[in-house]
Amino acid sequence: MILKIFCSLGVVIFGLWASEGVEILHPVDKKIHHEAYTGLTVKVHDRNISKILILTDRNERYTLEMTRECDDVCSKTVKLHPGENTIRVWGYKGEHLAYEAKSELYYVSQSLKGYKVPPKFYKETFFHTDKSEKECEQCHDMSLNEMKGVAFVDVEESNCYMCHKKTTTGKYAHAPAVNWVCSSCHSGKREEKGKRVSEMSKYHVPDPIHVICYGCHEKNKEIWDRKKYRHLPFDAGLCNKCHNPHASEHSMFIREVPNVLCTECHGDKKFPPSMRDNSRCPGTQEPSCVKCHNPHASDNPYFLDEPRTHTVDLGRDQFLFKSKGQ
Amino acid sequence: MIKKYGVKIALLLAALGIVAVLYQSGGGEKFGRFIAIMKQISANVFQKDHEEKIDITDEELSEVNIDKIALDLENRGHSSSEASPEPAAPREIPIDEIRFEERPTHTKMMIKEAKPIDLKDIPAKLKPLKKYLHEPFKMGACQICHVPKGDNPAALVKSNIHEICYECHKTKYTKEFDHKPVKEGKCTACHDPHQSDVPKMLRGTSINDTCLKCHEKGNEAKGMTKFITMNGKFKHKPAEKSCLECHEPHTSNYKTLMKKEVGLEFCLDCHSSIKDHRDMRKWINTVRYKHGAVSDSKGKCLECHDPHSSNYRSILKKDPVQVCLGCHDKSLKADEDGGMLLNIGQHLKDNPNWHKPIRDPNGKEGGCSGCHEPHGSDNFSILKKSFTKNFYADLENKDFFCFKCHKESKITERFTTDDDITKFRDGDVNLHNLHVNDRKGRACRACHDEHASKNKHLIREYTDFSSVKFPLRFVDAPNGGSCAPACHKRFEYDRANPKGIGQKKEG
Repeated sequence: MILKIFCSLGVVIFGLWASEGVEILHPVDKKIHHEAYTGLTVKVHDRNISKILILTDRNERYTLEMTRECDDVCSKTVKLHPGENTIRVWGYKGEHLAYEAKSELYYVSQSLKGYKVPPKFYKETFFHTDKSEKECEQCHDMSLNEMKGVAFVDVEESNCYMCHKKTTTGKYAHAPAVNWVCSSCHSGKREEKGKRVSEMSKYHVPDPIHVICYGCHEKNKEIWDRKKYRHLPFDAGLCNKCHNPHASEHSMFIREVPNVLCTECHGDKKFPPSMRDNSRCPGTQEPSCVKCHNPHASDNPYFLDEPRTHTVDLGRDQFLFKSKGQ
Repeated sequence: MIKKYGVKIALLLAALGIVAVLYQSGGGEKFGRFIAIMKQISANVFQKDHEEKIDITDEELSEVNIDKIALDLENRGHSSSEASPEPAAPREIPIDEIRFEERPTHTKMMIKEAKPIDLKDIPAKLKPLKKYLHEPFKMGACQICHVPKGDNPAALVKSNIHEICYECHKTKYTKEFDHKPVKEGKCTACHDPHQSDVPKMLRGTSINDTCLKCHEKGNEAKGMTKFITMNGKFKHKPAEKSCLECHEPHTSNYKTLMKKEVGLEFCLDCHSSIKDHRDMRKWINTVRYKHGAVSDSKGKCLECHDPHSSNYRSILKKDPVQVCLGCHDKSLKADEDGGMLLNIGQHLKDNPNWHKPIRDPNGKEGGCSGCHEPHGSDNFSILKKSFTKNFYADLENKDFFCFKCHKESKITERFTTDDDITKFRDGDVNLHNLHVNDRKGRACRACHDEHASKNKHLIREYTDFSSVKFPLRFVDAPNGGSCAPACHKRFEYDRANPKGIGQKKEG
């Protein structure tokens, strides 16, 4: 019993003492996150710390040597996975673990079904508010330094680049993102439905995002708005549900391969067995929903690219199909 | 006018003619001849065909002397009604009638008072005689102007020369703008009072020579301020022919003694009907996009062209590029869409590599007018031929404006190793073809600046895509180069050691 009390006291004292040594400035605990990467920023209060170890709950480790890589504020870009993430920061004095700090955050996935709604205790908090920017301004230029409508010749000149550079990694990158003309979409106006919100991030892009997308892709609007049938997420203007406006490993910056993306919502749909042999989609490695369906809008039912002409036997259900070869 | 008073005039002419002839000689045969002459004159007045055409000799005509008749009539009427003591007061006539000003004809009657001397007896310094002689001089009536006074045998009748001239040449020149010698009464500055080799008794060898005697540079000592040159390589044909094609020699209601108000219409009067020359009036009035220099400037045509002569083609005032930079060295508002035009002067200053027409303005297709139509055009930016404003333009069914000078094979050849066709190659793959000859072909101006650039081959610094300027990040290399625009990541090309661009597509 006495031992138990001692232990718990020790933990409490250790906890109090530990929290003084290293402090996670960003991301704050219980934060809802929207990007696959986060810029972890740690403030080191104890100058005797020689090494910092960052550990995620997927056992990814990042080590920062105090002398070389940081002074009193260290930062590291940490990859997140959809859902709950716990990031632990350990401060070492020599080989001896001296301090611990942790931050729990929730990465909301736009596309994956199980990770769209975070538990209640996670809060929407934004970094680019006046208060936190003021803190960073002591060392960093926090202004939007791009010239309106002119991209950087050297993208590293962008003030956004240092923290957000990971957002444009990917085989396919959206030109404005990879050229760091951030302000063409992230206006810095801090408005939600025309109303100024003070605690909102300066660069928050309010839904529906298609207002911004159509700024450039105006021809698509002209074509799609005339169509008879429109896909619901598309019609609601939620382009970013399927597309990553920055970069992606997949063509057209879609967040996952089409089949995965489609079946996240349309989980009951399966590929027609007769199509699995690829004979109906010549030239493709893998049968794909978008080979026959238009994910945006169409004049034909089921968003088919061409009017259906014949049925395909799907076993229980009867689907109507038209193959392009016939 | 003629129809209304025609009969009266004819009657008067006839009556006075009869009186005059009877007074002078009389006689049956001469009277018959006189009737015939009068018939002919009245037929001419009414512009009718007269069945018998007779030749009237100069002598006969001078004896009829219609001018004299008309003047006498006027003077007589005047003196009878107002009894003015000075019937010879100079009268003003409308400007357009100056061409037809009365040329006094001296009759034997008039010089009766003067004692004519024989031409042989005129002073030696006036010999040999020239082609055209002033009539009083021809008659030897020196006394009309000269009267010996003291030791000067050729002293003038009146101290002011012009007063003597106006005695007979009763046209007084007073309009809004007078030629300075006219205003000052220096008739003899241009006219020789005795004789000349050119009509109008001019002092020079021709009309233009007379004018240029003062109006050519080098006469600053005379107090001249208005100079022109006719020594340029290119001359305005009317100016070459005679200054009087456009100018009045004596007086005018328009500045610089013009015959009409200087402006677009003045020039277009000729430049709408010149053979082998486009109808400028029609062109200027029908084009969709007008050039401000033509439609909305102070000098109109004279903003760019010299009306007399110049060393630059189309009689431009300056070099074909410099003349444009006279205005376009600042950002001007475009008439066509209200946007601001590029400050070309600054652009050329900032970017050392210039497009050949700008570099060599006097060459073939040189100057801004190699691509732009300075008198207005139906195409945007008053281009001579339509050209896409867009970033994308598929080559098919598009006749690119650039092909006017650049070879089409530059784009259309898929594989080439010819440096003359294009140097934008990766090995033998024509990268122009790869960029342009496609469904989503790019227009020339997507990558090239049509005026000037800091880079070789007029490669742009920035390309405009969806109103964002993306840098092309072009890097030149000895045997190729590389590019990292918004469209793709950095791709290198090399003519000698191909980097494999376009191979995937072909495969």
